[in-house]
Amino acid sequence: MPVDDSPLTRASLLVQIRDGNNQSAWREFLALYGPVVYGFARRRGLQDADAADVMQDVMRSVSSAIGRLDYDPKQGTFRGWLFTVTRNKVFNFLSARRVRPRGSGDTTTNRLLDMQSDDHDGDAEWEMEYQRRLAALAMERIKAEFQEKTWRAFWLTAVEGAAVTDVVAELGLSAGAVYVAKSRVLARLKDEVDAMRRQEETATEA
Amino acid sequence: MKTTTPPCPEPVELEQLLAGSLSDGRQQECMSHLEACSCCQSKLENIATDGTNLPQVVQSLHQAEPAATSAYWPVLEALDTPSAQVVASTPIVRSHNVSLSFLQPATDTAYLGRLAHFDVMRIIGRGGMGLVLEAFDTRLQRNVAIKVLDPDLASDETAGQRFCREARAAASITHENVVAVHQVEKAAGDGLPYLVMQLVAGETLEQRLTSIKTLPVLEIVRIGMQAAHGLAAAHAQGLIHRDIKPSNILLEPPHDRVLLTDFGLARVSEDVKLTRTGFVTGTPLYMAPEQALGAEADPRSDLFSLGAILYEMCAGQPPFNGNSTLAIMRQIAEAKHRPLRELNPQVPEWLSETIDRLLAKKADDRFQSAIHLAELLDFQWALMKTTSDDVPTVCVIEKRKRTIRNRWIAAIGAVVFLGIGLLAGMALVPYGTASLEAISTAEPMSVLTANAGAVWSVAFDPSSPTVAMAVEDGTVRLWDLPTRSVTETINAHRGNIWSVQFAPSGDTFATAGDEGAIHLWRLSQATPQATFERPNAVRGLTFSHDGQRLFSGDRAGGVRVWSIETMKPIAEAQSPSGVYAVAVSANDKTLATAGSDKVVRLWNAATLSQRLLLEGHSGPVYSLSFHPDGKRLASAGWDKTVRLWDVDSGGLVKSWHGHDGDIWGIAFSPDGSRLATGGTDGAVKVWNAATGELIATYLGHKTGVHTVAFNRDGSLLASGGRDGSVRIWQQP
Repeated sequence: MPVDDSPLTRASLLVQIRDGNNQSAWREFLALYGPVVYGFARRRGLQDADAADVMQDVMRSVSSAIGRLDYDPKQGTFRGWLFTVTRNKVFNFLSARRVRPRGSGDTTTNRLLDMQSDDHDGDAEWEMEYQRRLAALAMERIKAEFQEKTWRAFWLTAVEGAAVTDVVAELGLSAGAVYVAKSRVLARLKDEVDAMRRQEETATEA
Repeated sequence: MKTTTPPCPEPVELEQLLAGSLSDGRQQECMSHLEACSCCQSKLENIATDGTNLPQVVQSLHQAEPAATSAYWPVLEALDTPSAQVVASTPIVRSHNVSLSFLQPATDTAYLGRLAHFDVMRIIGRGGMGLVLEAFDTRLQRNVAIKVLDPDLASDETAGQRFCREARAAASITHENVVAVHQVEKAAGDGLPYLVMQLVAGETLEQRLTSIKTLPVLEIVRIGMQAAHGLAAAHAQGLIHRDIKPSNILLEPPHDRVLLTDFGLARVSEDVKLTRTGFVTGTPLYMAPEQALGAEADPRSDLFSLGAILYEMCAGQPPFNGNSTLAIMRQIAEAKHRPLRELNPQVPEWLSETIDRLLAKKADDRFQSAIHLAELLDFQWALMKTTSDDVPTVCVIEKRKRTIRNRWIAAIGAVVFLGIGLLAGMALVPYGTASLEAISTAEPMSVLTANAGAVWSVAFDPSSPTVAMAVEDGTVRLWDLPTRSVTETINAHRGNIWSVQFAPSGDTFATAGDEGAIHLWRLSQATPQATFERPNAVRGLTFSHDGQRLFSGDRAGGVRVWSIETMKPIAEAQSPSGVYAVAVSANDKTLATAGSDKVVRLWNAATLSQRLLLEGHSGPVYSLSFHPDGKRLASAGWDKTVRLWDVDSGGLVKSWHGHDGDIWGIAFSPDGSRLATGGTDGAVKVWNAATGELIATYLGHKTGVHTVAFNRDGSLLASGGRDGSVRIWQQP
């Protein structure tokens, strides 16, 4: 999904959303967190349509909570709050299914539910989804800074997991050049992700 | 590998390499060192990412976005507006998994279940409010449509009330252009409300418009005229439809009579005040400006919507469009539509002016009642019809051909469906207990439920843990086995899908549909890569083992070999009767086909010259599978027997009674040691392929099994059937 060119440097994403009908801020918010919520729900075993439903629910909660300032910034980060909301919605979805089995195999549902109540409460998965989303957005931004071949070398090896020998054949670069290209893009990507994360965290903790 | 590797560069040099600050010569040396030194490769990456997990984070990120067909996108679009209340009232998507748990067990396995005295046959469709089922009314001995409120919504009091109000309102209209509502009931157990309606064969205007972009003018006028009459009847009862759109207009064969349905949001005018809470409901594309602005709808709002549909039929596109709900509504409220005759000069001036009047922003500037519009269209239609009948134009003849062909296709579909229903019905009288020996108590490893209709074919992707199932509603669902989740639902065909097959290399698969199309797909792409057309339903489909060709067999007996590269037929032949199954030997030399004439035919797979006839089955043959060594062929079908043939001589090697019902699926395990079968008795059986000895029987499917398939290494067996599920059985 194409992302606004406007950098995340702004007073506060949440303040902007709260300040009435700022559509581009809301859109940016959806672009960043929509896939994170959806992806997390999928990782928790929900099917496509159900995960999309949960995403819709969570986003509605956000839009209403922002008006009421439902969450307390002192309790933790906004992302943490969003995680709690998402995790609860996923859990509620699965327990509703347990009460009234849907014919899709309640053993599966029970197994998924048991998984939810485990000690590991999905923190790591949530964090991973967030990191992946940030990286995806960051890649969109920095892509134009690199030459086509450099970017392809990075993309094929680091993202698509292609073997270096195949990439050498495709791009006509030496293997060493492929390694260097991959690492150069990774280095730039890391800077961009760090910057975005810093901005995001200060913005949403405002 | 060089034996004498120069010493590794210092970390600081690697940093310089990253920054591009080394001299050219030194940079070359470092790069060639990197080629051989995996230690420095990881050191370099570590420096670049500062030891973080970034390399893991980016892995497979190209697959991170929800697939193009995912429900994620419509939801995102709906959310894409800061005023949350626009969408807050109506959930945009409901779960694809339709629960039929409100049904009582079926009295006969040919049915999905029972609701009061209705035997439910199949799911026809689903709308915003719930499911539409086709059922047989056992008291009045006729087929009906039943609309059931989505169980998820039934728990919501407002939705429940709205549904009952819809039912009462719609039941008060009796008109030939409005779908008749027979009764409103509540299910005995959980009180789920449902509505019994006239069953209308045929398609919706929405479906018609996806196959034909614009309609002939005479047809547009007739549809508008009949819809206007239907609306007039509703308005006379004080009812506003409020949601007139192409999917709520049914076209009933043989003359495409218009029937308005789904008075889903229609309500007695007096009730409107009660429930109106300021938010907008309904599909925005055909919404009237006053609805878009949140004001009350009146009968003239329905006329605006009808005007928007007439416009679309003429122009091939709706009058107002946009990327989001909000954008469309803004267009409706503010923008002037493009003059119709710019888009289609064929539209007569009077019609273009009539539509302009219907699309007036202010209700006062529109026709003031549906009956006025109906009378105008009556007159114009009669006029056009007389002139066109006197001098039949090419256009009219063309139109007739088209409607006849459409009807023909629809009729074939209906007959086949009935045929299968009857067959299953006859064959599924109680069987007593299946042979008790070797019944496995094994639970399936996974149960993948489609629930949108019977599964006719299932296939494993050889290159990933993906299972594809072909569902009666024309969709292919791709399941990810480890997570047991649907990764994609592809709207592949207009009717039933008879076969889904993966190319041997994986990643690509082919589907064959009842409408005669064969589509070639790549995983994670929502549109087919290539399409091959046959004039009638394609039942049998298989890839050559080299992945270069496709073999198809159709209901009229046509057998074809297609080149995937050129997308053209290479060879074709005619079998004397309908083909149900095709299979090709591992060396791609011999093609086997079988079908309704009880005979299995062996062909030269390159030229399609006929080699041998294998006779012995006493009824239609439904499924074929070659032994991987190419020397044996297994066949099974109506006569419940499994037959093994010698491919070279055509002699029968062995045959045995397989199931207490027709056998619809047969498959050799990849190592050729076992043979799996599935039958209408609901059982899946695994046999010793050499001796015919029963190894295991898997029970679990509620009704008949249509298809069985092994995965590439034979460790898993999938079975799919009429109950809409695919079960995965772990193999020893």
